[in-house]
Amino acid sequence: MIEIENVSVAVRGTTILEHCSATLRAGTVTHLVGDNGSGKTTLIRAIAGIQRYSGSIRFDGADVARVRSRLYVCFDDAPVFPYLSGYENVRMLLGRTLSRRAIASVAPSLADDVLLRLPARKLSHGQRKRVHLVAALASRAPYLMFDEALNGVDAPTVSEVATALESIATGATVLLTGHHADAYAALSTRRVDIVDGRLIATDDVADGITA
Amino acid sequence: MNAIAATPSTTSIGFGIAAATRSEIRLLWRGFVLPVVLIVCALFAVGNVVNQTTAVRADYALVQHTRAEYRANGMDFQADLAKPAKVVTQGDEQTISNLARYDYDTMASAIAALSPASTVSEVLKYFGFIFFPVLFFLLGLWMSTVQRRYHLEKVTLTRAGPFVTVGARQLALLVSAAVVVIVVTVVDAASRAIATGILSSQLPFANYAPLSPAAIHSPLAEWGIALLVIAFFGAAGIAVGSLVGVFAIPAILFLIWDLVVPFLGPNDPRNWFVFLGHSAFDFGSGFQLAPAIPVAATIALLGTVGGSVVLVVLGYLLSRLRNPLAT
Repeated sequence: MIEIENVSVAVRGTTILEHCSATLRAGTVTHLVGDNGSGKTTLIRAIAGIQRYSGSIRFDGADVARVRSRLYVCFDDAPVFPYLSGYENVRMLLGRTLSRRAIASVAPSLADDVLLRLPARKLSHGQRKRVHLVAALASRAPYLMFDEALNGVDAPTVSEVATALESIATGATVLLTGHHADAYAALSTRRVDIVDGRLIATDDVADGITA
Repeated sequence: MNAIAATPSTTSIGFGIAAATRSEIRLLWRGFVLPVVLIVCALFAVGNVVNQTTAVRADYALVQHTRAEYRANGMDFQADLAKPAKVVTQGDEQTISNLARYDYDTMASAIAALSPASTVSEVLKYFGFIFFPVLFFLLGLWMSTVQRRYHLEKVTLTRAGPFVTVGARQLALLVSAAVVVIVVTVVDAASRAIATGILSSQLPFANYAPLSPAAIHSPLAEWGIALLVIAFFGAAGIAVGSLVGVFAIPAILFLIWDLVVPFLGPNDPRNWFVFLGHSAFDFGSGFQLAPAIPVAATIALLGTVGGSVVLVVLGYLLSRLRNPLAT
């Protein structure tokens, strides 16, 4: 469970997030919907501990410093090291020495052995996104954040991602951001809108989200 | 549709300092930085031995020339060898009182320096003062900027935090240094063994044993100074990289400062290292270290050790400043 309490972010005098509060429960996939510049990525960065904020964000009662190795953030730009293969990038992203078999078997429909063997410099944005999705799944992290999860991902992959999220959502706390509510409907179990830096619960007010 | 096996873990899933260090080393290796460094250093090690071999041949020829001149002038070469040589320097001019002994000592010293037994000392002084400052500053700078160049730092910082991230870079630097020193030492020793074997079949080495006692040197001091050079300049590279975030400009500025700009005074860090170098190493033959501006030994030692510690802490603080909530 991730508890976001009264979180505000201001950068150089501009307010980006304003008194955001939400409780993201384990076993749920929350879709954060908002326009460009509404604060989705900033909220993810604040949760990840790389954005200064006021307020409180707790992971099952703990500070981010105590859970950072159990938190995986799949950033929108899907950064990879170009000289490493997909396999090696997964290992580097996770800081773990996983066998090729272990990585390839996580989600072969998302990234198979052929794709994971390629040097990352030869991968398209969508393929790099797949490598990050595989890393996220292989991490078995209980806290998963996906910024613009479906950007650059082709239509068939969306259903693969949905299956993946369904399988991990039984125990993990998952937060997705993205613009297109329809595309994400199959992926998420609940939806939260973010408008001008304020969170608005559209389908589950009683779940602890306050505007 | 394929089944996906991914059950959330309740335990820590890695990215301690050991894992982060492995990642840094993997980047150095697969980014071709470490292989290139090793190849270049190995080539320079071979080049250094070739230069020393040439120096031995030239010194041998000079001794034979001096011996012939003694004979032509009716002087006793052997008698002069028994007396010490005196060198008086006045301004730019050097006066040598006993050319026979001076040339002989120079050659004996060159032979001793070329010997495989001198490998470690020669490697540490040749690489420690010429290459290591540049090499490890650039390695530190590369490590602290490459992840930002590819937008990977936010991933690393999220998963590992700046303490582990910066600590891993320091450790990766030391591991790289160990690999570089080992590879260079092996290549250097092999080159010396080959060179000595070839030369000893051509020149009567046995007839040119040193007449003066060998200069006393402490292997501990030599290793300590080489380690300080690596720690100081590596930490400086990491700190500068954490501050500016780009590689090319600070790399060029450092090269200009290190290779072109003369010492800016006794407390220029380069002067501290050169001063300590003259105290620990014998520069009797082969590579000659630039003269040091006089400075108190305690200041040089405290400056280099304290400076290394300050730069390590600075690297961490600068990384934290750029990522304020990471812990």
